[in-house]
Amino acid sequence: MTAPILRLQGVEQIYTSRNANGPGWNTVRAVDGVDLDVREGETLAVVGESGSGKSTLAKLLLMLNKPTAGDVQFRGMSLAKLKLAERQAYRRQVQAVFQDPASSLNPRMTVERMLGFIVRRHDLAPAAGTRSFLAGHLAAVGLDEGYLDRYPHQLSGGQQQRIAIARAMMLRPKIIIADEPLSSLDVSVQAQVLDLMRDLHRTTNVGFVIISHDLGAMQAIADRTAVMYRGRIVEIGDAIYTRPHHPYTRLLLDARLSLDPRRGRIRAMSALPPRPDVTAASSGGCKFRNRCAEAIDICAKSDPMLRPVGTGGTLAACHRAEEIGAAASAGAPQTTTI
Amino acid sequence: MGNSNTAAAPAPAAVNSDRGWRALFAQLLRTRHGSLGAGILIVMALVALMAGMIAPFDPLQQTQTSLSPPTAEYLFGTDNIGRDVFSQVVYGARSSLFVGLGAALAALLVGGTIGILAGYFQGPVEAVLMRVVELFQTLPVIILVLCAVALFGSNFWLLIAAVALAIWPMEARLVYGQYIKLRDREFIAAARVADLSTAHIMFREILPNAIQPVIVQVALDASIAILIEAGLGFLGLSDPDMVSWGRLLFVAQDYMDSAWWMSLFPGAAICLAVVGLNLFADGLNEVIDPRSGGATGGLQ
Amino acid sequence: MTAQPILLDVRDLKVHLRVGPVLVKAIDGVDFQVRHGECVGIVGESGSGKSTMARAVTRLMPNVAIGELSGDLKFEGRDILAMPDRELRSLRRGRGFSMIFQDPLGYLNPTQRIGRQIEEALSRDDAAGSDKARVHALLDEVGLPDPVNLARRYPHELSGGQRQRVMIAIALASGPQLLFADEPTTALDATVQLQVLQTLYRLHRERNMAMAIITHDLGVVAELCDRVYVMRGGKVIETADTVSLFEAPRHDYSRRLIELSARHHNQEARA
Repeated sequence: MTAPILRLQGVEQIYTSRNANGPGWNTVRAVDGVDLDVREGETLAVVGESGSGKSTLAKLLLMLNKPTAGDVQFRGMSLAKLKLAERQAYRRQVQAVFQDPASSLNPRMTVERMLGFIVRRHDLAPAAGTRSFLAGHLAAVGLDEGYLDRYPHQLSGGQQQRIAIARAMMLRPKIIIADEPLSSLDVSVQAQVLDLMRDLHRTTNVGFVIISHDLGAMQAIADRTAVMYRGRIVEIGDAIYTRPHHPYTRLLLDARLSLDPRRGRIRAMSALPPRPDVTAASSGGCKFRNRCAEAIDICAKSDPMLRPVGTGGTLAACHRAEEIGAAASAGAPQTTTI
Repeated sequence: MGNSNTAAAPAPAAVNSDRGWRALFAQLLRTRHGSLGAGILIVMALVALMAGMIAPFDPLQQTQTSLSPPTAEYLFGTDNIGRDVFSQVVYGARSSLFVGLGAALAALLVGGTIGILAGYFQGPVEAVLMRVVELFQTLPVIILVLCAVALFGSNFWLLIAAVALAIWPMEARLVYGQYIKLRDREFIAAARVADLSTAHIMFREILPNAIQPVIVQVALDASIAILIEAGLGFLGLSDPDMVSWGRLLFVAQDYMDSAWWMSLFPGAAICLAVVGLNLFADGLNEVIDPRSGGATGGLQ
Repeated sequence: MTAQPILLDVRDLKVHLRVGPVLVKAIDGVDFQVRHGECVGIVGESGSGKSTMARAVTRLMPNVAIGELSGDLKFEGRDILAMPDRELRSLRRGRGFSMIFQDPLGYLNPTQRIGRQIEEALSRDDAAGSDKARVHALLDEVGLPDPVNLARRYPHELSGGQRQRVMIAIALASGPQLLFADEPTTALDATVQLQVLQTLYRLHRERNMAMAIITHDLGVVAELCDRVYVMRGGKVIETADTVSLFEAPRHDYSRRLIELSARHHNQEARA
């Protein structure tokens, strides 16, 4: 197996703020000890709900924030120790696509002007050839040259996101970190953008780290998927959608709505009394245990480590991972899609 | 895939696609307040610039006809030592407008820099700078200015500095607020990820998007500065060698019931300048409202 | 399902908005009915006019320049369009209609306690029990634990799901016969969405309250709604009962939406 292109070791991002409701300080462990290897050319999905830390992770990978502990390495070089020239090189190789395409484009500039700054900064093309250079990259995302003269507010969400992708691809990066690239788009447009990303992957072998809360879309595109809960990776593997090994993964899969009106699952569930809101367990043990249907004694005492389970290279952080994986492959109804 | 839509994303009317200053100004002139305010300011500016040609007399020249009410020769009458009030008002426009604008821009420079620094560096720097801003804001403006004048005299430039000292906190807060609003925007993050320089981010990305409310504030600041200057002059603290509206009011105090024209016309001029600036700011505010769908839109 | 009488009857609704120099036909001749006690879904992508529809019918249009607002809008037989403001308000305050929105944080007053905000929405007609008791009963009804303490909290102290439930409680305070829900769970996590939808459906049954759910998510529609209206470009391009729509959509656009949603949720479309 080739060496990973990105490696995170023990990465933490802890925010401290004044407690609004009383004395003392609040600590938020947005990223709470993450070890992760990203392979070259792979499409890695990072899924989780709000508060999982996935967006913070994206910012760390993009060097927009510095981790409060731990190390992020790119091709063996620690990001914290990069010199100026190396930092510039990093920026060319690791690019970004953000969530809200309208907000990720400067509203006061035409597309050409905005992209032109980047071309000049990185010497991507001679001054005279800039426009045709840009036109070529726009074509690669399915947009006509005329779009260079448009302002962002004149474009649809899908077109804006394509421009954002073109902006990232211009630098010929090795890997693109996409933070919720589909969330702001209509369903029909999401499909187009997903297809575009898949095409680019196929033709240029660019890798992706896609942050998303949308498991359905990620299942279609990801080589591997990491599931985050409260700042930690609780499961990572290439078959988590069909064979989850962690209760939280299963919970997320179950929460997907069905498109079969005959199932009436919510209608059936609605007759049950409402489940109380639960917060994460605080002291010791597994953080997920308060929400976990499978929690046993040991879960309150010992915090499970992320470890290999099963045969497919999946890692999971659960004391009962093997049982859960076995139940899944035995065709327990919760994990199937329809 | 590869459906190349032609560049005919419905290209809307020219007004919407032109984001420059011209479009802004054109829109401004379409509003009632904006056009009125702009009109007043342009007239005043012209008067100030062409004072030499407009004023019939040297404003400091004393004549024998003192305390004369308005006549054909002395349009606004004369003061207690025979100076033509009209000429004084005309020349006074120069200093008042100059002080007003000068102080407002100085406040922008100082306040804006502090605001940007606080926003950019965050952490303890941000906290300290904003506390300083708050401190200055809590000090009563008049006292501040009086102290400054008492300490450093009423020289023209010091006057500008003193007034700027009083109003810079507002600019600082505004610029800081705008910077905060923008610094987490995704296009800023995108610029950082594209390794564009800090200078580029500040001046090409943030500034153009932040500046419009700042200009409104500058206009308002100028009107406040003019009022402060008038107040100082009225108290006799302005530069005695300079003709200014405030100074005229100072002289007119003793003659309020006998020579009403000595106070009315300078007072009206101050009023007109302040109203003009406020209307201009109003119009500008209307135009930069995000819902208007005009030459701006999007960010504010 | 027995055909209940029609509660809301909208015919030929037109809403044209003035955006700068352009006239946008947000809604261009739409027919739309909700019967007593039924749950209707309005789906469409952005720009389809679905949100505008709800706001136009409840007369909550923001003061954007309205070029034209016409049509035949009847609620319980009464003409809403011609109704004066005072009557409309009393309709919203008691046994009429209510609405919940996508972003509860934006619609709740951050400086007022939850209990107070619900109290303000209570209907004025003869009610059993004190205002406080009614507020606690509502909080309980929407599935929020410890109503007494919760009523004293402020919006920012609650989670997204809790805030959405509070908004539902406020909407229910007036005892509406029809609840509009504009993207009620779009901003919520998947697990929370499930619970909120469950709550909504339960209230729909327990109170026999009609619901009109506006959403772009066909999953919500499939799970909750009896009938569906598919909107595009300001028009209703197809309407059917939910099962028929998903099994045999008549219009290409509907079929495409279903296919894309299915692919998106990684399921097979049944059609």
